This record gives sequence, structure tokens and C-alpha cells, in this order.
Amino acid sequence: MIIAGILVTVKEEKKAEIKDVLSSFAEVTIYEVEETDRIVLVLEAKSRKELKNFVEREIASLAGVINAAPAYTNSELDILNSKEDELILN
Amino acid sequence: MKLSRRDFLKSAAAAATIMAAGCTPRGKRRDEVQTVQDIEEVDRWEKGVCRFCGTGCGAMVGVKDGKVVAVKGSEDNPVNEGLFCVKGSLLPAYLYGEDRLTKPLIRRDGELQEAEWDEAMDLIANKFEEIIDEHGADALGFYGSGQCNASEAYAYNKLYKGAIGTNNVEGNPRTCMASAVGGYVTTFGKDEPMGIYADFEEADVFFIIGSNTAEAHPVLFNRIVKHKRENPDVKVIVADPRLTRTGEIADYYLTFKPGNDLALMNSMAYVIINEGLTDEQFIEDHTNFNSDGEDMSYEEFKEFIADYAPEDVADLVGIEAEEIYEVARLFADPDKETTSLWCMGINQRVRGVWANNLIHNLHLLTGKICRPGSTPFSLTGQPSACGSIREVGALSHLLPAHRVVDNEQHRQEIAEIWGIDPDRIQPEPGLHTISLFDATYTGDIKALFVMCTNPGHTLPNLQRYREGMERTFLIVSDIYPNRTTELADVVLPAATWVEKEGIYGNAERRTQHIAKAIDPPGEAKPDLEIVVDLAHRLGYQDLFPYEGPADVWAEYRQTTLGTGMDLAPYERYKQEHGLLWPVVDGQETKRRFVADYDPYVEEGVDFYGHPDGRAIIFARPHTPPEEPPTEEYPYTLTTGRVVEHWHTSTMTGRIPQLKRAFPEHYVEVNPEDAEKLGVNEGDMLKIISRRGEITLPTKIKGRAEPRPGLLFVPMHDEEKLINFVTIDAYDPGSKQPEYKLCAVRVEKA
Repeated sequence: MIIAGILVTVKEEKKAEIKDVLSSFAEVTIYEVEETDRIVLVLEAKSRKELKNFVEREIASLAGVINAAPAYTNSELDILNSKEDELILN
Repeated sequence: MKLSRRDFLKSAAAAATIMAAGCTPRGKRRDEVQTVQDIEEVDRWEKGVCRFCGTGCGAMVGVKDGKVVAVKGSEDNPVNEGLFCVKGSLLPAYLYGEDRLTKPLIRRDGELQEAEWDEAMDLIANKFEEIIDEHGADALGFYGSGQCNASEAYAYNKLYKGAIGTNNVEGNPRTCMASAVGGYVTTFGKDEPMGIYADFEEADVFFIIGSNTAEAHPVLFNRIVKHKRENPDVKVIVADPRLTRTGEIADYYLTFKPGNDLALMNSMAYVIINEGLTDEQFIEDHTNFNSDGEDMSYEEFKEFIADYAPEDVADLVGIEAEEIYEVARLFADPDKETTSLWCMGINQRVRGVWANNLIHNLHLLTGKICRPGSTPFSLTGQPSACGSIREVGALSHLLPAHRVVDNEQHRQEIAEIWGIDPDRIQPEPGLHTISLFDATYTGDIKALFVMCTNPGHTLPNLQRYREGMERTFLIVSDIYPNRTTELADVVLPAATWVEKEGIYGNAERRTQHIAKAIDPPGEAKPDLEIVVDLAHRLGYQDLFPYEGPADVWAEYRQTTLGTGMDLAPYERYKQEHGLLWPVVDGQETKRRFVADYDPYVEEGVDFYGHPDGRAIIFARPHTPPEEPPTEEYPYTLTTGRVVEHWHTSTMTGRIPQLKRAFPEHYVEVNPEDAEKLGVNEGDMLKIISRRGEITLPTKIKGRAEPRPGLLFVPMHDEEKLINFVTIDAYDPGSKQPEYKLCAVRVEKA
């Protein structure tokens, strides 16, 4: 499992529409930001192919998207076999 | 607030992305994001640089339990400003392949068997001494890499050229950017670009030729995409015989006939001159003209270029004359700033230096150079091809800081810093890459040390050179078994990337430090330790007193001061996200050859690499490829990169996600050709050249489309080596092989 933070830069007038589309994907979590031309999302991908396809096909291809780029990835769940459900805060 | 490990990592990813983007969180997850900002998901973060392409993206490396588990873009690094490409974002995974080399191996009875370090290093040192005694120093060779860090390259360069006494030091940058070096040096008298990536955001026009930037340099491509989308008047010209993803943003796409780009660029120069789009004052003040080594006048140059009217070359180039007019006018528009980008499609040619000269010509004729947004900019394929090879001088004709071995003063300057007799450095260049490997075949090279590269996969016309490597005593230092280690007599397990400390130099003259974040696995060692160990065993302790990369850097830096390539003290690189050389009086240089930016220039523009301060506009005639198509071999084969993989996939092939994304290589065929050949998607096609053959599945409508008559094969596959087919003809100036073009025939298999 790769957990990736992705910054999507959009045309302001299209932000709501694009956000609605991206929110419909189960593997995507949107994190709201004040900026009107940015969407920050976290993608949970089983593979590089999923990550790549998602960025290129599902995000970059949307009308109004200016750019989509990963900024962060974490592979701890694969590399250290960490327990996904271990509580960090309770 | 309850938070599982998985949710925590998601919030950490969001927090890092929000911070990289300089955004302010809001909404229902704001508290979650703000909470996790106070909890580190890793034990510590270390500053590094991506170790794939030559872009030089800043990478923060997250370490937990002694392993690299996370990576994020450095938001304050001007190269990538916190963002990555998908390949860079998966960097941690390549460290942890199951077959990492962790023990030295020695070939015994035909098998590579585990050995102790002392045993392996003694074997190498003894063999070297034996060869030097019997055959002389020139029977030894070294083949390094643009992935070595600068201290490693400096050390091996000094060991061979200054201690052992042979200039047979080469490296894989010979095969990727030697023609770019030749272009810069012949035109401007100094290697490496005058501009930087920040020019992209100032440009109105991009001229991209021989580069699939979208797949080979995705972060830079994203900068261009973003700039264009924010500024719709920005225009992009892409010239490539293959319609690639880079073309998705092109306003003009010139799918010219392969190998005819010299005619194309001369024709653009024709239009620029004949339509009065030149900058006459710039030409008068800052340029000379030259043909075949002889000075010529501007008027004589105009006579030369008169043969390249678009109407006269349109058939040769394979595009409409009007297209040439349009792109030339756009390039030269006096109200626009123009940046040119190119890569292997220009460099890997028998006239790669000339092709580079012709790009520079366009900028010099229009005066679109040395100002924000206007620059000719060569993209590079490896993370430190510039920093560790071009700048360190680790090719057979070079010495540190862009010096050359056949210059007596240069040898004296370096000998003084190295503490050796100047006569110890041979005055003639050593063997260049193709000659070096040919000498393994002929028996003239008795022992070859290969470091951090995979020539058993990458050399063109591979069969001969693989046989050569089998014949010679071959030492390979690397991190995974590959197609070169299988030929080796000794294999040394190397540390990589953040398992050691070092400095990389990227394509825009930015020198950056990589901190050591974790220990290497098993008995793997940094290559610097290996080189110093070998030097000591050969009796050169006094020349190699280094205790680490900082000591080497301090000596290397001395070679750069006052040369125009001045580097900063090591500590500054540890503290900052890179500095653009020359660094003079503590200040970096954003633009070379122009006053107010370059400390070596007092007034205006000064191409001080040439004694008279003038750049040279060269008359370079159209020259066809070494092997144009014929009746017997009617197709042209070209090779290249795809975004999932890098070089010989030694690293990216170990990342399961990447392997799954791109498991099988293929031959890309134009739909018209596929119909003519009677092949469908997936049908096996045998590609045959005068040197070898390979059978691959057909790809008809893939991610790109070659023009009719052209076939494309990705270069990464470890099993099916396309380089059994490619040609080893090379540019007579740069000695760079013509990987990009050879004649083949195809048969349905």
C-alpha cells in the first residue's frame, strides 16, 4: 500500500466540479484548503500503476486541471509491515 | 480523536502536501491535519536529492526503524518546490529489493562465489600491479557513471590519471551527453548551460527537439505545463519523429523524418535571416562565424544557409515548408523570449555536436540568449552527469573543472593540487567509451573497473563488447546483479543514494548535498571507500589521505576556484538546497556570460570561454545518419525511455509497483506500417539489423506513435537487450554513439 499526497492545481471556476468528481473515488480522500485554485488529496494505491493511472487518467485529464503532482509518499505499510489498524491516537 | 496508523499516515501525507503547496487547511479534517503536524510519522528526516534523472529534485527522506519509508519533495528547493514525479515518489522501494548485493563475490570455477573484502581487494590490487608490470598502465581502464557522487568520481579520476598514470577513464555520460558538451564548448568555449530552470517561467516560446520531456523529465515538464496553462499565450514547438506525450501540450508538432533535424534547424535559420528576424546588433557585437574550422564572414554564412530554403528541404525533412516558416517566425519573434530544450534525440547521433551547434545558432542569430526566458538548455539524463563527470572531468580527455589533458598548463595546475609530477598525467586523451570496450575485445585492455553502471546492457552493438568484457579481468561495483555483473570476475557490493553522503550536480549547474540517512545493507560500502582502499593497496596512501567525502571535496574545490566553475565549501551545501555555480564571494550565479549576474563579466554579454569573448555561429551542413534505411533494411529503429523505468531498470525493476506497471517491453509501430506488415497489437515482430535481432510484441496504439517508417523500442528490458541491434557508430567530435538511429528490417515472428 502506497499512501500518496497529491497536489492538484485547478482553474478556480472549476474547483468545485473537479472536487466532486475526485471525491467519488473510494481510494481518494480530499483535504480541504482555503486556496481556491488548489486541491489536496490523499490517494491510497495498491500499486504504482494505480498511482500513475490515477494521476494521469482520473486527475490530469479532467477539464480545468492545470497540474497534478505527488508531493509525498509513504510505503511504511509495505516496507516495515506496520499494522494498519494500530491506534496512534485514542 | 481516534487515529489508526493508516489514517495517521494519510493525514501526514495531506499535511506534507499542504505544507509543500503553502496552503491553509480548513474543513472537517483541519484538526486532524494540524494534530499530526506535531507527531512525526518517521524517526527523522534527512535532506537528499532524487537519484534518477538529471533534474535534481530535492527530496526529504523519512527514516523509521533504520529504513527509508517515506519521501517528500523539499518545498524550499527551487527545482521542484515540494513536488515530485511518480518515479521519484517511489524512491524508497528501490533500496529494498530481495537480491541486493551485500557481500563481495569472486568468480571461481566459472561461478561467482562469496568472498571477504580483503580477499577481493587484494585480488584486484595484485592483478593491477601484475598488468602494469607486464603491459603498462594503459592496459587498465575505468568506466564510471553520472550516478556516482562528485567525491567518488574525483577519487577514481585521480587514481587512474594521477596515480596509476592512464587516461583510460570513461563513464556512461559519454553515451548520453558528450555531444551537448561538444556543442557548448565549441560554440561558447565553456561547457554547461548559461540559463537555469527558472527561465521556464519567463519563456514565451519553448522549442523542444529530440526530447520526450513528459516521460524523461516529468517535473520539468510539469513546470512547462503549469506555465503554459497559466499563460495561454505561451507556445510550445515540439520536433520529434515520434509523437510522444510531450506533444500533448504542443502548438506545433513537427514529426520530421528521423535524422534530418540538421536540415530542419538550418532551414529555420534560413527563414530567420531571410525575413529579417535576426538581432543584427547582437550578431555584430557577440559572434563570429566558422565553417569546418575556418573563419567565415556573415555574408558567407548567408550563402551557406541559402541551400536550406524550406521549399528546398521540405521533402528531405518530411514536413510542409509552411510549418518551417511558422515555427521559425515564432522562435524568432522579437517580442518573445524563447527557451530551447533537447536531450538524447539530439545528442546520440553521429553529428550530435553539430546538431547542438545548430540549436545554439538559432539563439545567437536572434540574440535570444543570456536573458530571462531565452536560453538554449540541454537536459541531462542522470542525477550527476554534470556534477560528477563534466565538472569533475571524469572522461578520458578531461581534467577537473572543465580542463583538458592535452593542455600543458591544465596538467600542471591539476598536478600541483594532486601533489604529483605533471609528467605523471599523460598528455594524450585516453580511450573513449567505444574504443575502451573495443580494447577489451582486442585484448589491449587487460582489466576494467565498472562502477555504478551497466555497460553489459547499455552499449550499442552489444554482442562484441559483452564478449570483450568476458575476456578482460572485469570488476563491477554495484547494488544489484545485472547484465554486467554476470560477466564480472569480481563483484563489489556498493552503498547507494542515502546510504552514504555525497554531492550531486544537476543540469542547471546546481550543486546539492545528499545526507547519509541509513546504513548500507550487509557489507556494502560507499564507492569512495572502495576507491580509496584500492589506492592504498596500490601504494598511493599519500595521495589519498581522505577520511570522507568532505575531505575529497575540499581538494576538488581547489581545482575550481578562479575557473568560472567555482564551487562553494562543503558545509554550505549541507546547509542549503543547492547552489548554482560559479559561486564567487559566497554568491551563486543564476545566469552566465552576462553582467549583473555573472561575476566574471563586467559589462554586457561576454562569452569569455573564447579569448575574444564571442560565441561562434557554425555552418554545419545536413548530414544523414550513419545507417539510413535501404531496400534491405527499410525501417529506422530508435530507442528511449518510458516514465515507469530508468536506464537498465536495475533499480526501478526492483520496485514491484513499477514492474507491474510496465512488465513487458514492446516495439511501437505506426498503424500504417502495421497494416502493411499485417501485424496486430500483441503480434510478435522480429527486428533485424546488420548486428543482431530481437523479437518483441507489437504495440500499435500505445502511449506514443512513431511516424511511418520508424520503430521505437524502450531501452530498459534486462532480458531482451535491444542493444544487440543498435549501432556503435559515433560522433567524431564527442565520440557519442548514435543510439537513436539505425536501419532494420522486420518480420512477423
